[in-house]
Amino acid sequence: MPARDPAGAAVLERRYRRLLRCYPPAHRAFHREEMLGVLLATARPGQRTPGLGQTVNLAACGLVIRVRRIPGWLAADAGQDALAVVSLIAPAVVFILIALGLGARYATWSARLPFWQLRVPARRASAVPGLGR
Amino acid sequence: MGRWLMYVYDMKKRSMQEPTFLILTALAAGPQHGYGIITDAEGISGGVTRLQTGTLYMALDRLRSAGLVEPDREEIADGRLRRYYRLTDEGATLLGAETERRRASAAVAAQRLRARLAGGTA
Repeated sequence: MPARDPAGAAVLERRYRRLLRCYPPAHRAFHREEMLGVLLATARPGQRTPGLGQTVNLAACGLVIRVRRIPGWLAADAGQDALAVVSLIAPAVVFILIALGLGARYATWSARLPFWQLRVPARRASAVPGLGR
Repeated sequence: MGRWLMYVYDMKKRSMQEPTFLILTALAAGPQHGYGIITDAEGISGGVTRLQTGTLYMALDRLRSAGLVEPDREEIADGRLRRYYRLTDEGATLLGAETERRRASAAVAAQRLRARLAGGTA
């Protein structure tokens, strides 16, 4: 506990409180004060910032607990595994980005076509410069 | 970050990962608060594992909902809340099973190393 620097300790505590917003409200209501106690007890003397490792750890753990508590559409114990969710979402995000990129390319190419014809040339994707062959 | 990824990966395999093992072992001695668990776990692991606060409370959250650990009592020290946790009977059973599993695989390793040493000197 950085007792010799009460102002610094207050700054650190405020930053930790902000970081703890990564946790779901129910978890925060139960654990926030004891977590703050542990975080400040493990701080170096004079420490004013949480540090990268601690920040990443708190944000990641808060996210995992939030994912765990998503009820219903996730199987009860699938919610325990954030990695499963990330591995579901990440390819979807990549797919959407690729689709947006291709869409933008297609839109510039077919800008003069009326909208009801927009889908027709899509079947001849190989005719689009840079898409096929 | 790497340690955290390993943690999530271990959860997927449903084997007991190191933080869980250390937390349950720390609580096997009696109820402890968060900071006590961290320092005890560091000692148990021979200084190798220093639990981060987020990791500790993520594990406690899961262990509590699994009924392996439960809040014991609360104290105020230096104006701060300290909540003590204790091992439940289910937690003690699981820790016993994990200890046996680790003992068995360590015995195999020790036996093979002895055989390797004997083969090398022969």
